[in-house]
Amino acid sequence: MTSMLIAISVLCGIGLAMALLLAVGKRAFAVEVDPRFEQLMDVIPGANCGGCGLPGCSGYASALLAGTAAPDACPPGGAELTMEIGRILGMEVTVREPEVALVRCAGGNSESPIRARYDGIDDCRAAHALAGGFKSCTHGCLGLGSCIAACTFNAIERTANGLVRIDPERCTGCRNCIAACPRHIIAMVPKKEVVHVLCINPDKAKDVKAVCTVGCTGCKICGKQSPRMVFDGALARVSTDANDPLDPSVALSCPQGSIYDAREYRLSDWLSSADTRKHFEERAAAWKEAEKARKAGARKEKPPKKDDDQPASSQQEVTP
Amino acid sequence: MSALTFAGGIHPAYHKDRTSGLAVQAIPAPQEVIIPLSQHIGAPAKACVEPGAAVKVGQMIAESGGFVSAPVHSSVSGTMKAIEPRPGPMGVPVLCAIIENDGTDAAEDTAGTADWKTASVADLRQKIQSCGVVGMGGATFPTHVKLSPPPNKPIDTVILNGAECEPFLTADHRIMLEHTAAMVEGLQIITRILDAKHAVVGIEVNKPDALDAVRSACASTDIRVVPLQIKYPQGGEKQLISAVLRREVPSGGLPMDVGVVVQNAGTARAVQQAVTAGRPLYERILTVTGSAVPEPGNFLVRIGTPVATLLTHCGVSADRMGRLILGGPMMGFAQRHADVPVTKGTSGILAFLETESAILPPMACIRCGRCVRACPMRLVPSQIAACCDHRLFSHARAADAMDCMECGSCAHECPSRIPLVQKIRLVKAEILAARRKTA
Repeated sequence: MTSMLIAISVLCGIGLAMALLLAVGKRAFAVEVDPRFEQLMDVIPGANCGGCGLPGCSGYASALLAGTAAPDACPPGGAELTMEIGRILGMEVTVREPEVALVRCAGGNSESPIRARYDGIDDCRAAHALAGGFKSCTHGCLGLGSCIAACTFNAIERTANGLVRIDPERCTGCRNCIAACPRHIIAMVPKKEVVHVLCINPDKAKDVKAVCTVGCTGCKICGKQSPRMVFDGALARVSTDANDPLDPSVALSCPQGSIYDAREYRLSDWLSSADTRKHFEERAAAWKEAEKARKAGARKEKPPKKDDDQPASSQQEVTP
Repeated sequence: MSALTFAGGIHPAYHKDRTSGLAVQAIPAPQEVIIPLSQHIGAPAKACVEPGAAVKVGQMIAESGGFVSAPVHSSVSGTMKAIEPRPGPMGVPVLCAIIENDGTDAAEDTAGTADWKTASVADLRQKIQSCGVVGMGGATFPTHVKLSPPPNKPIDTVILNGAECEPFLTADHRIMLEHTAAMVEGLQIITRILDAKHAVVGIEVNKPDALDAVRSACASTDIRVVPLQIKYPQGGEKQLISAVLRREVPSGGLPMDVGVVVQNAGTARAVQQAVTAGRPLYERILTVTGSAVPEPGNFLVRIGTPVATLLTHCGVSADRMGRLILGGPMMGFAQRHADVPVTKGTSGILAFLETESAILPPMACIRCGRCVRACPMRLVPSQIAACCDHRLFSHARAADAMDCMECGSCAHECPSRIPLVQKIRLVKAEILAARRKTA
């Protein structure tokens, strides 16, 4: 009985002594932590995606406190987080325009056929390194999903047609997929942008048509519809300079159907549904007919106008 | 003398019996040859004959594009039809000279150096370079470059590679049997150019007739003939040096760093022909075999002959063919169609049935360590492949991934069928890309 009591009291004594030591130690060796660090950690998403370019979310929080990181550098956090950071750090912030990643290729297996059987490992980089990949188009999406493996937010999925699609709602703009793609197909676009050229093949029209039925040939017809369509050589692109929305006729005017209009179709349908393509082609044909009729009308009206020397107002008068 | 070997390696099924006893048969030159202008490692050759011009057999049609480059010669006489991109053996289109054969085989006048024992070394080297001789084992490194080591790296030994360790291939075997004297003379020329003290021929013991033939041909010379164990990759440069001389080539180094130059048996014959007869490299001996080939054999083929022509000659029907490989089954290149030409580096053409070329899905690594035991470079393939999966390329570099020569022994041995060598190849490409970025 007594030996038991001795044991208990000795153990309790040791416990007390240690607790005292710890209590003293905590005071003596206390590390000053900026209370704002905890506040920041509470608001930062905590996905450790690396989108800010710093080692993890705590790295970003420390960099914010040190003043070496910008308050709008966290893509998953977006505008809300930027405002929160501004509140915590007591600084003026400007909210960045949210961006999402976009796979700029719509040439699935039916549009850009497979030219060779690929038995290698499931990695776009390996397939690309092997004689330029197994697809007819050496610039198009291989669809093996190196970007899917790189995405921390589960925002990328394969389509039925051998491509990949990024869900703009899930995409946070961390850019990890951009680095993973060996063909540099993925690019950041403003989230509010509705019209995209889904092709990056810079080759001449003949070469593009030889490998893909929906590739951009650089014919510049879309450029006539809207000044926001700009051209890098034989490749069209939507410029980000102006803020005015694009006329839907830009997509309809493309003879190759390389321009995707998010107001008309869902991206998943556009990439892999034959019905959607058919629907689009019917609309494009109708638009072209209307355009032809309008032009023919304009031409008829032109000769007398020439004499009147008022060419600028001719179009408005013809089309009601 | 017991057979020598290196550490590691594997014993694949060799399948050499079907063709090893068949004498080399010359294939008539085709109606049209497609000669790629880049058949070697290094700068592509520059075309020097205009389309429409008449060419003779052995006439230079493209000149060397630099020091590490080799000229290309016509393999038939006739008319140069065009110089245009055609599908190449590596899967990408390459610039090719298309020559229509007039069937006369009018040859360019050539002159050899009969007394090569007294001729100047520079002349011999020049002769080899102008005849477009490249390594004929498959790597196609220009031979004159290999025969010009820097002065601070003296060469004491030349090793002639008669291992032919790739399964199915028997072309070098037939060269050693049928062109023994030419091959040995070629080795003597190489030894003289390099001023090497020793010359060694290494032959795997599964070619006893070749061993005997080469031994008797070398009896009156001071060339040493050594039997090698039957093992893949016995013919790898570094493995051969390890087996024959017990020397280790340092990581990232070349055989010349340990005073050795290795040449293939076919290359030695090409060197002999270039020097003694001034004959350019416009034909080569190769093996056509595989389960889809009813009449396999060893053939003397003009460079630029379409592979499809050879397959037809051997009775292969396209619908039975599941897989076509140029080179050996371990390190050769799978082709998507037969419309590619035979090049200087094509050591074999293998056609397999669909049933034999199934790719089975990989399973998880069970840590058995067979790949580690198999690796002839003494790397840890499973570790490097894991680095590939997790995209830890700097870790893979620390594990000496760049020393991998992509022999495929690890993938061959893996019981879980993990594509180890494919993953290591990806790792190597990523490391090189990162190096280029920082440079």
